[in-house]
Amino acid sequence: MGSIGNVELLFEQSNGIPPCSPTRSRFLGLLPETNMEMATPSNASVSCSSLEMLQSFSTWDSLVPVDENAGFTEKVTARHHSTFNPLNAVALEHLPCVNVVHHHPSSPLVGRTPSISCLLSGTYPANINNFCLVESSTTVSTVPPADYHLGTPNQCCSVNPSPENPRSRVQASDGECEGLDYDPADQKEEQNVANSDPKSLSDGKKRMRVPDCLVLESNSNFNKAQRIESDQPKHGSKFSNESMKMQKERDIRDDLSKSNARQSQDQSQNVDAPMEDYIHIRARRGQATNSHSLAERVRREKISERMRFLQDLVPGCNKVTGKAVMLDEIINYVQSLQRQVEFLSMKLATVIPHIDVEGTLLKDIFHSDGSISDALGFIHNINSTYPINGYPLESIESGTDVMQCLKNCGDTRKSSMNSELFQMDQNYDNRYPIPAMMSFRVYR
Amino acid sequence: RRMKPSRNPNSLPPMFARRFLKALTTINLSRRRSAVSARARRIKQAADVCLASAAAACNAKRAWSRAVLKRSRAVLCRQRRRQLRERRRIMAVPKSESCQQGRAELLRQLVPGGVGMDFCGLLEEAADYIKSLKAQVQVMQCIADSLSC
Repeated sequence: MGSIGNVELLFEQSNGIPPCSPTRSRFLGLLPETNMEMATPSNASVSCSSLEMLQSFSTWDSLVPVDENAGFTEKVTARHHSTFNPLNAVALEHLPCVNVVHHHPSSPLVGRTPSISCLLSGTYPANINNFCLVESSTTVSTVPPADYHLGTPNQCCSVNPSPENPRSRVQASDGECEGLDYDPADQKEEQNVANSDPKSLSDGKKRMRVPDCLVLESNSNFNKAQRIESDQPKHGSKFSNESMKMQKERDIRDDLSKSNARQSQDQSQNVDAPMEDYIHIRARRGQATNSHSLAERVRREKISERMRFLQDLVPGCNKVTGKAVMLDEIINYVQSLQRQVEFLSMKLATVIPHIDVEGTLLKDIFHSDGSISDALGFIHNINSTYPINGYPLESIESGTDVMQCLKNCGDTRKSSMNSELFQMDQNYDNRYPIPAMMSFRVYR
Repeated sequence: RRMKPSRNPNSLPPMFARRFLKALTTINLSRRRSAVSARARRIKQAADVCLASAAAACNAKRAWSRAVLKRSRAVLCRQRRRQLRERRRIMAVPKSESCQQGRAELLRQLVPGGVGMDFCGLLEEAADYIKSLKAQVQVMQCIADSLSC
């Protein structure tokens, strides 16, 4: 793309920019990616003007004009020292799908983007999630701009290019960007900010998505690839807060990493309590947006998530698909484990009368503080991979393994007992006993 | 006898091992003339209780551990013991149902304390229960092998 080439040139130019903040050049590294989505030929001009703007600003509070609109540059240069609310008014009708932030989460710009996202929240609805989602996918996944045309220049955080603490400015907005706690002037926090910003961004994103006065408008013909919005105004406020939380939880999980989603979920629960006018639920594309179906969907996702976890626990379930078969496998496994416990307890019951001679062994094992692993660890870690078929052969091989590991005891009686045990094992479930018994672990 | 509570998920096998060995010594010191089967039953129960207590110490919010401990305390009372024996016979349901409801019921009966749970929580408890059972089997296997030397 020619635009990328232009931007690369610009990027080289930007390297000559006197770093009033070294993050600037790094931030400029973002430009290529942003411009990747830009299709208009005005990219170069915009980027140039943006770079100029950046040069003119002393701090990072300056808005980065990601917009590719040609007219944008004029307005920006005209007002780059005033508040950026007019920028919001520069409607993002033109705003294309811009994926700004889906790369290095460690980039120091991440610290900056919250301000931008806040700033742009009023009229950059497509950008919001892009800005907010540091690790989001490339698709613009949400909110048509219409949502945020709420007379909202006041709502978004107005980022003034002043060296003041942005936090105060941020909080000056309707409490939307409270989660953004960073100081652009403080570069030490960049590292922390880079880590924490996804969360704060998500908070900001969530908060921006759920202000009271937000009304979903369906007249958005912007970014067809967006999610279908639920017909909230029709259903009014009948949706429960809970479903909203669940929906937000799911939405956020789609976009952010899981840790972010959890924190954002907690935050959303704090945020949602006072807001009750309009509860927005973002449905995914092509899915029903009924309240019941949404709750059902959340429940189903929970169940499928737990089934996946169980799939990891139960051996031999990787090829199994479907809940029913998985449940069968799980039930089989639990039953076999319980049978194994019974068998082992019986074995211990037979062994215990014999240990009065060796009763000291038990006491040694018991009294050794924290060295149970040592005492038990003489049985080496045996990782025997076994096929489910060919069971009798496996028993013999695993029997030899056990015999090898019990060489330390050096008693042939034990090996014979072990072979007896293996034959006894065959009476039990053929799939599970041997590997579970053979895969010892050295405890720590 | 209270162990020092350590909420570390990795410490379940050592904690269980310690408690189980203690229990074994207690059982070992008791009268030896009882039959092997009775002793085996007592050992198994001790193992379950030790596992449940270790799991409760590691991760306190698990329902199955509480259910096991509750059940074991009830067993001390003879009347409940009889009731439990009868219940055990009834609950030996063959796995004939193929629909998912039947399977969920089976899983509920297998996982202790799963009777009054919704499916979602049941899966979670089952996962934790499976993890603990694995640890139990491993520890008991190690002990059995070390004692059989």
